[in-house]
Amino acid sequence: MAYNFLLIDDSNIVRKVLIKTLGMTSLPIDQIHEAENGKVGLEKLSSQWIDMIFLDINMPVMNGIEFMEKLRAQETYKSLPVVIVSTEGSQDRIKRLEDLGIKAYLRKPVTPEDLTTTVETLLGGATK
Amino acid sequence: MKDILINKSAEVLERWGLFLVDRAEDSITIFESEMPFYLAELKFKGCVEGTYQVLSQKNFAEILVSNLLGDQNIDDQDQTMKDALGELVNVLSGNLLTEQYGDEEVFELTPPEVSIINAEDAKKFFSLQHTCYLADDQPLGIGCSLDG
Repeated sequence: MAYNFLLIDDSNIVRKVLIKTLGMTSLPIDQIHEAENGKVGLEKLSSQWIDMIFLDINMPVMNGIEFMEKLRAQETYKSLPVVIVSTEGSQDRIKRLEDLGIKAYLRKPVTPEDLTTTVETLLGGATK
Repeated sequence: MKDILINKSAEVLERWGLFLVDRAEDSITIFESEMPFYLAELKFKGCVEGTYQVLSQKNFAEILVSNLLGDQNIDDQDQTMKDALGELVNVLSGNLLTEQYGDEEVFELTPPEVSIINAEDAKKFFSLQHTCYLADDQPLGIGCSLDG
């Protein structure tokens, strides 16, 4: 039983770094899907099984807050865990995202230990 | 402000960029004048407005990419170096702004821009509040200017 993750970030290199960092953990991973903005992220969700989303805030086309609003509007995804990975540090914006149901906030740089703790806390053994 | 710039920047370079970092003379003389410079820039707007800049050269960018991506396949090395430098100024900005102004403040950050400039244009960087390092022995400058 392994996890399926969706990484939503407009920076190709950030996604690659996150994939590398996930690979440095001992987490059981099935697939890691990528999306360059919230809109593409929603499209991926409709075609892939996802256990957890790692989400950036500042992105073109559809930012992290807009993504969360659309995600939580769909009954299917009301409890899907979303973790913010961002340089964004303002409590105001984090509070808004917490109201929209994010489960955790990780500020870059993110370590393998950060990811392991977050995933194990939020998912435990819950996979497809 | 300069203390935060010096200490927090070094911390980010070490933790995120996986560099060994030493302070260097705050001068353009630490760079290779014959080589092109990479200038990564990001503007911020909140209780204050300004710009963060990272000045580097190709050797630093190559090591940064290698440290971040390891042995992953890279299709476009030049673009990947620019992306990495853009993300570096992004991560630096977020950490420096929070350290300087606290996490109550909201800042809008522009997408990072990375350009290749010559030595003459690189001299303008040194008019900013700045600090220089040798990161894995490669020269690097990190600067900040406030508008108004």
